[in-house]
Amino acid sequence: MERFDFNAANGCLTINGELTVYEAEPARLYFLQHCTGGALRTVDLSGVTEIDCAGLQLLLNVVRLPEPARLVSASAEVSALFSLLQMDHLLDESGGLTA
Amino acid sequence: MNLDLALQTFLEESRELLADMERILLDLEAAPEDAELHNALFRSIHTIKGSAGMFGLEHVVAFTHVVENQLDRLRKHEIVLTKDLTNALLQCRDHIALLVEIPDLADETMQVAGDELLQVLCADNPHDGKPQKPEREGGHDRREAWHISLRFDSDVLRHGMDPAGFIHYLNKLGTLRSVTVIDDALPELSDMDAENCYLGFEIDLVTEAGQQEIKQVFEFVDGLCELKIVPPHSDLHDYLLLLEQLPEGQQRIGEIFLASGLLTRAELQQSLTQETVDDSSSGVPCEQVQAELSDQPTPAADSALEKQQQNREKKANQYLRVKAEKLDQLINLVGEMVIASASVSLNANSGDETATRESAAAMSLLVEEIRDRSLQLRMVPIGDTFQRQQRIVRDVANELDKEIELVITGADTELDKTVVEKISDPLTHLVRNACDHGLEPRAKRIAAGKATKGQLRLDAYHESGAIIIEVSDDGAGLDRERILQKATERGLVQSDADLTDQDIFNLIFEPGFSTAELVTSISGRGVGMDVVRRNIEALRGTVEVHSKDGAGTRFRIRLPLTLAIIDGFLSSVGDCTYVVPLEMVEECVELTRFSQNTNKQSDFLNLRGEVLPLLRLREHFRVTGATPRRQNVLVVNYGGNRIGLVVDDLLGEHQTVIKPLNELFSRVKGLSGSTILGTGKVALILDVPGLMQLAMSCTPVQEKESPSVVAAQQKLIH
Repeated sequence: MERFDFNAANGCLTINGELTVYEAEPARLYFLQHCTGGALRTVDLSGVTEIDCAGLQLLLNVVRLPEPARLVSASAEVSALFSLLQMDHLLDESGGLTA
Repeated sequence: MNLDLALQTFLEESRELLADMERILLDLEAAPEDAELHNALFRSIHTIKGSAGMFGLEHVVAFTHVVENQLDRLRKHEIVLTKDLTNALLQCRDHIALLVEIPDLADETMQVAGDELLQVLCADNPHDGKPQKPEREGGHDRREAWHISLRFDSDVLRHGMDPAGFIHYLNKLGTLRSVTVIDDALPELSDMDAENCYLGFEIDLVTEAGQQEIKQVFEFVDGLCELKIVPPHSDLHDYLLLLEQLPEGQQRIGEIFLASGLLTRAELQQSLTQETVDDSSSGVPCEQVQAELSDQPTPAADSALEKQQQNREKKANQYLRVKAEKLDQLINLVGEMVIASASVSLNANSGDETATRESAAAMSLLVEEIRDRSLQLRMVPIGDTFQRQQRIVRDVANELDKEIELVITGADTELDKTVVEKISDPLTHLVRNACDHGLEPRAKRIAAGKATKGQLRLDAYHESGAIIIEVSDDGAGLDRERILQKATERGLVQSDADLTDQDIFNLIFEPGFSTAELVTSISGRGVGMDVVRRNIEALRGTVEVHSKDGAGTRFRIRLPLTLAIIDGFLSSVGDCTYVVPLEMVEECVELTRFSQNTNKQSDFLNLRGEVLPLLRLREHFRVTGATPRRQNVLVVNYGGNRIGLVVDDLLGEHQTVIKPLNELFSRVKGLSGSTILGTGKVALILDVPGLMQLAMSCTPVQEKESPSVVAAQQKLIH
C-alpha cells in the first residue's frame, strides 16, 4: 500500500500509516505537489495509524486552503486527537467521496 | 527526536525516583515528622506519574494517581504514617517498578494485584481505592477553570515531544472544558518546515490539582514552551493582562475567552476600548501586576520550588550518562595500550638512543595516568548496594518479628562497577542470613541481657589496595558444636580431627555443608554459603568469618579495587615470570645463608627477629633449571599475614593488564590470572592468598600440590 495516494479522478488523497513528525516532510512535499489549484478535494484519513501535532499542522493547512479540502473517514487515532483538541468540527463525518 | 531514547531516559529516571522513594520511606520511619521528606516523597511519585502520562502509560498513571493522593494526604497530616501504611506504600512502590519496567505486563493479573494493593493502601478511605479521575461537569461557575495558555517552541517536535501529549495528560488531571488550537503562526504549506511546531493552545481545565501540579506536567518541555497559568476565580484584571501578553492580539484571544465564558462581551469590550485608561487609573503599576501574575498564588512556595528545580538541573548537568559498554571498550583499549607501551619501553631501553628512551618513559607515565583515570570512570560508590539492604532488613525483620537496626558506614567507598554489581547478591545473602540465623529472637536477646533491638552493621573501607566489606551482627555467634556435628555427619571432617574454632567456622563455606535444618522462608532457600564464597572468589576476593560466642558474627569480604588493570611487581624463577600485585609487596630482601633455616619441614626466614614462612616458587611450581647462587625473597602481606616468596630475580614494577586464565587452569591453586609482557611473553599472576594458605598449612607443599599445576605451567610456557 502506498504511503500517499492521490486519485486525480476524484481529487482524493489517501494517507496510510503514520502521520507524525517523522513522516511530516515527505507528506508536506506530496501535499504541495497535489494541492495546488484546487485539485485536492478530500483527504481520506481511514488508513492513518498514528498522528501527532506535526501531522495535525499539515491537515490544518489543507482545510485552510482557498478551496478547502474535506477531511473524511478519520481513523480512530485521528478522531481521538481531533476530539481531544476539540476540533471535531473539522472532520467531515459524512464520509465517502463527493462525486 | 528519538522517542526510544526519551523512553529510556524515562525508565532510568523512574528507577532513580523509585529508589529514592524506597529510601525516603525507610527514612520516614525514623523521622515521621520531617516535612522535607514528605515533600520529596510526594514529588518523586508525582514526577513518575507525570512522565508516565507523557508516554501514554495509562495503567501506571492510574495506579500512581491513587498512591499520590494518599501521599498528599500524608503530607497534609490528614493521615498518619503507620507501619502498615509504610508496608503498603513499599509494596505499591514495587508494583510501580514492575509496571514501569515491564509495560507488557498490563494484563488482568497485574491489574488485580494492583487493585488489591490500592485497597490495602486506602483502607482508611475506601472510596479512594479505585483509580478514578476527578469528574465534574462544568456549567455552574464560569471562572472555576484554570486557564492555561501554551505556546510551544518550534523545536518541540524535533525533541520527540508531541504537544498533544501534554494536553492528553491534562485531560487526566481533570476535565478539559475547552481547548482552542491557535494556528495563527502556521505558514502555508510551501513556506512551512514540517518538523517545526507552529501551534499554541488556550485551555480551560477544571481540576482539583494545584498550580504546581499543572506546572509539573510541562516539566519535560521546560524551555520549549511558554506557559501561562491563570488560577480559577482570578480577578478580571489577570485575564485582561494575559490578553495583552499573548502575541495573537487581544481581539483574537478575547474571542476565545468569550467563547469559554472567562469573559463576558461587556468585559471584553470594556478592556478593548478602555485599555489605555485602565492602565493609568488602576493605580497598580503594570509591572507589579505582572509580577503578581507570574508568582501566584503563593510567591514564597513558588520560589522555593523553583530553587529546587534549579538545584536539580544543576545536579543533572554535573553528570553525563554513558553506556557501560562504551566504558568497557575504553578500558579494554587502555589495557591493550598498556601492553603496547610496555613493549615500546622495552625496545627503547634495549637501544642506545637516549632520546627514544626518554620519550618512552614520558609516554609510560602518561599511559599510567590514563589507565588510572579510565579505571576511575568505572568506580561507583557502594552506597546504593548498601541502601538496598535497608529494605531487605526491614522486610525480613517484619516477617520474623524481630527488631533490627541496620547501621551503614563507608557508603561512599568506591569500587569497580562490575564488582559492585556482582557483590550485591552475596551481600544480600549474608544480610538475610545475619537477620535470620545471626540475630536471636527477642525473647532470647532479653534472656541474654541484650537490647531487644538487634544491630546489623554494613561497613566498607579501604585497606592496602583492597576494599573490605564487613557484615556483622551482635547476635549469638556461630554454634561451634552444631557446625562440627553437621560437618561430621556429612563426612566433611573426621570426627577425631583436631580443629581450631576458625577451621570449624570456615566449614560453613564448604559445598556439602547444608543448613537444611535451619531453613526458614528467609534464608536456606537459594544459594548457600559456598556459592557466596565462590561468587566472591570469582571477583578475586576472599571472605572470612569471625565469630564470638554470644557476641556476634562478622563476615569480612575483601575485594580488589578493580578487575582490569593493576600495578604489579615482576619477578622471575628460571624462565618463568611471575607477577605479584604491587600493593601486597612489603619489601624485597636477599636470601642469605645466615638468615634462612633450611629445614625441609619448616622453611622460614629470620627477618629482623621475626619468623617469616617461606614459599619457594621454584619448588612449588616445579620450575626446571639450576638454582642460581643468589636468590631473593619477596615479602608479601595479605590480610595481616606475611610470607616470603623465594624467587631468582627481581624485575621491578609492571603495569599489569589482567587476562583471565583458561577454564582449564581454574582449579590450579596459587595462580589468579595471566598477563602479557612487553616482550610478548606470558607472565602468571600469583594468587597470594592461595599461596599463603599453602605456605601456612602444616603439610609440606610439595605433597599437597596437584599435578595440574605442573601441567598448567608447562602448557603456558611451551
